Amino acid sequence: MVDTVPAPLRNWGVLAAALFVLWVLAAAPGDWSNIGSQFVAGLQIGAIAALGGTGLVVAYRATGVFNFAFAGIATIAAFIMYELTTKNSLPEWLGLVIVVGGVAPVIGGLMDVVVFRSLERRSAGTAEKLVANLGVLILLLGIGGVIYQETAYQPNFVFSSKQAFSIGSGSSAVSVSWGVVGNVAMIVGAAGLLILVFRFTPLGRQVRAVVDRRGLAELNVVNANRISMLSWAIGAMFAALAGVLDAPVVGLQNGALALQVLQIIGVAVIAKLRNIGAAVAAGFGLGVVGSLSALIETPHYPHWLHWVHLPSLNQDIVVQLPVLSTLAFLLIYRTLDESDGGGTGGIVTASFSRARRRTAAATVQGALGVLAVVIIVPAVITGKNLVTAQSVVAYAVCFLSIVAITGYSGHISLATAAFAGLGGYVTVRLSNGLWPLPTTATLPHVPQIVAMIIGGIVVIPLGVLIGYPALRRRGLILGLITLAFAQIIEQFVFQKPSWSSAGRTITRPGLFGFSLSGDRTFLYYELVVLGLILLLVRNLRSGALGRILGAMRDSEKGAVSVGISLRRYKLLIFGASSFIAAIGGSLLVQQQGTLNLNQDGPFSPLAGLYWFGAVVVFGLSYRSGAILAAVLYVSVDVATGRTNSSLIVIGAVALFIGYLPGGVIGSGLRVFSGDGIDDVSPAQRSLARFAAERRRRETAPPPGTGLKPSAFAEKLLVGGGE
Amino acid sequence: MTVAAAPVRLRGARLEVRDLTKSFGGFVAVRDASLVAEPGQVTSLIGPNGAGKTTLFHCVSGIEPPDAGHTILDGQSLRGMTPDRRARAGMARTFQILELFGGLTVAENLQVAVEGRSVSRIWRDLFSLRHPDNPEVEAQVQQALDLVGIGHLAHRPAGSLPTGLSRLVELARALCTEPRVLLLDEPASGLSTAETDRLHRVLSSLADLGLTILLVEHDIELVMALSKTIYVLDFGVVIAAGTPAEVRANPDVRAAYLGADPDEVES
Ligand SMILES: Nc1ncnc2c1ncn2[C@@H]1O[C@H](COP(=O)(O)OP(=O)(O)OP(=O)(O)O)[C@@H](O)[C@H]1O
Ligand SMILES: [Mg+2]
Repeated sequence: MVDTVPAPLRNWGVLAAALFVLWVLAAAPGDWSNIGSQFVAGLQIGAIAALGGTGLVVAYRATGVFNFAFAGIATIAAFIMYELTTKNSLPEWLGLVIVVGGVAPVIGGLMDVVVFRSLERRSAGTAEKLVANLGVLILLLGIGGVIYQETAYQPNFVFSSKQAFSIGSGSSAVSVSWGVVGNVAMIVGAAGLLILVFRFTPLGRQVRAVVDRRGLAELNVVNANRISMLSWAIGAMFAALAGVLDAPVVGLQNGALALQVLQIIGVAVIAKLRNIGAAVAAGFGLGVVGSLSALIETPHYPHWLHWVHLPSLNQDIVVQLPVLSTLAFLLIYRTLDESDGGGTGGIVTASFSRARRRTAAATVQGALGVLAVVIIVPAVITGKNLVTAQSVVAYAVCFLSIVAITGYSGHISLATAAFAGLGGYVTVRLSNGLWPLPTTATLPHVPQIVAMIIGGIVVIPLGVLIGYPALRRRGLILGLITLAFAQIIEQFVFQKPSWSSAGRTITRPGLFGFSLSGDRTFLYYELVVLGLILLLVRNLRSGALGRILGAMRDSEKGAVSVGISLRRYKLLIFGASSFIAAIGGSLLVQQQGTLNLNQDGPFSPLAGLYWFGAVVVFGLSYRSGAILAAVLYVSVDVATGRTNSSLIVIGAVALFIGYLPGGVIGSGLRVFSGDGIDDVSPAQRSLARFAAERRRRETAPPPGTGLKPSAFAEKLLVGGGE
Repeated sequence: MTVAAAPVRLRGARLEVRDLTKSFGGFVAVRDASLVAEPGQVTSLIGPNGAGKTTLFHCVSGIEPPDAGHTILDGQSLRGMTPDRRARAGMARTFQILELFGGLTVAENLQVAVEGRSVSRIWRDLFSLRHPDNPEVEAQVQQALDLVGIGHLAHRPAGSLPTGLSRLVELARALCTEPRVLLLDEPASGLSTAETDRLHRVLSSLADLGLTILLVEHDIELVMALSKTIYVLDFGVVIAAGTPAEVRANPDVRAAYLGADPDEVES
């Protein structure tokens, strides 16, 4: 429980790091100054990662919420800094003071006051807090996106790149710029300040007390509020600092910068989400190792391997170190400080269909109604609305995948967009007569519909692969694993020219010689696919299978205790949901006619976060939730004429998910039909259960539910019984 | 209540726990514990809060891997078996901290227990249009509910029941897995007097029919009345074993309970 990395594994890690350094030294051409300057450059990048990682750790430790929003805060901070200094030529130091010292703590404070304090008061579950936090991310990136769209800006560096001093002399001298000095000073100063505050101020000591024993926060509401506000503010300041310093390095573009910053999650993960010192070390470590790896010459691979372009893969592995190590450490650590136990209380609700059996007449009426809608609506809408409707249907299929995986089986997956993108990718490649691999070898052209089905099937094993970690992990950690997976797919497949530069367009399909390319016919075709997927998803919820998945979602211990094999059903649901996502992605690509793999496109890791937020808002446990989410996701942008504006709506509603248990639909049903829970909600129950378990673990020996020992002993020894 | 209506095939199995040890970090929760539960009787495991009873149950049912020791069911070691395989081998249990399927109805909770062990229906359910309920399963479920006296709750959401009734649902659910050994972790806590009486009768008739029952319970009257054999666990160690009378007379048990500072034990 305390330390779960087995010693041998830790030793292997040290050994691997040592071998890597030796490898660099052996493989690096040139002299020591070369290595020295790479090392120094690594410090500059590493300092930024260390700042971001420290902010994540502080916020997580003090509030128990993983601060996904840090990427949004970083982005907004970088934009404001850009406006102040680069555009309006304020001095950099003043910009830094305003953004990091003023704007960031205000954002953090607002997050606390508006969102998390009320969630805390309502004793919301961890899943709800996670969603609210995602809401902040989505809202901030939505605002950034609406204002700045997808334009890339180049902000000034905060610190000058002139030499501050140099180490050594002559030709082997290593020059150290003010940029390096500044960045390192920032993290050293900030972390130092943090430690001073924690150690020597009363409030800091309380924060530490809370961090060590979260339950203590409940003792004093005033302090708990101050502490949580302080923690969010500090977390936001670190995020802002990381964003402001990172933007000049990687460029300032709304989604792209957020994606860069999200990689810093790896730093927090390596630090087990708890240890500030480890976060600083991990930040510097990743920065330096990544920077040194640039020196490694491309090794030579055997000729027969050249078709997979391994040389570039070799470089990628070191360049993409943060994401790869995120995944690796999430898998290596058997437990992280996961405060939620993986519950999805509050965002997932059950509807007791069996308790209120529908009559046959009602079923027929319902079916007729649906039929009327799907036949009449496409027939009457025209032009641009027809295209909007097409897009809605494709997204609805994608979103149904989230309903299946999270709503029905309780696994948080943030990789849906990646699976959808893979489905689209396979479809496009096959229909262009190309292998869905980094090769230029050709195939016969595959008809689009067949290619779509193959795409769905090809993705299943990948979904099952992601299901394996889910055998032991749920909640936040599974969310992080799936996010890392999405980032890896993004970087190794979607952004790789060798995989995806050729064959990015697709024409609309035909069936038995009948073209489906007209806008209206295509919509009907999409509706048929949607109908089939709806049936599949319904089947994941009904019958023995649906009951078993629901049972697993509610209690894994209970499920195994009646003989249910978690492995079988978890892998099944992961496979099924990745299939559905792939079909949805394929539809989307067929509808758009091109495969858009841009970082702000529909298949980026950020899209996975947006999609999840959109479905949660409407109701994860309802098929109609997915459909309404798709309507909103697409139509707000169309209505306002600005992309990303739907994000503002979704983000804003997600902030208040604590007031909408089960999303808009779940809450609506509860209000209007009394469907759902009689007196206690499952959310409250699971929370109570978790709280009980937590309390037991924290106090050893635990307060029992039975008699006090003395009374117990008295009965045992003195009498009672027969 | 007529025992003949029992819905389960009652073929008990001899459960043996041998030298079981489990620690968390440096803290040893169960140390070298051994016990035997024979078919056709109730065997109880008692001890103060934090003694390690639940931990022992978790190890026996496979939910936590023990550090050392064996669980043996009818002469066969269950070493390395996942909890679901143990359940399919006949080990059923209830939980002190409830593990009901709160989003399903009470009847569905039991249906899952009946159907969950067979694979055949998964693929059919995944691709078929209709999912009719199996009347045999429904009858079995209703019987189990009636047996523990909560037949009228069948269509209530399980998540909405008070603790006592939830414990009865867990018991009924365990009975639906065709168990050979029943591990019950404080089944009577939260039950009303009438419900406890019913539980008493149900358990003794299940034992009479041949089932093996291992009971952890703080209701000492119930334990004394039901058990053939009682094991006493204190700080993870089995300090006494025997008939109720023997255990009550055991000086070690006296020392353990009367000697212990209640504050220390209670936290
Ligand atoms: N997962 C865990 N991690 C750390 N310690 C644990 C864990 N589970 C149990 N313990 C500790 O092991 C000891 C035994 O706990 P256990 O729940 O088995 O006691 P018990 O006999 O069932 O008590 P009670 O009568 O209160 O149910 C306790 O001190 C408890 O704190
Ligand atoms: Mg216990």
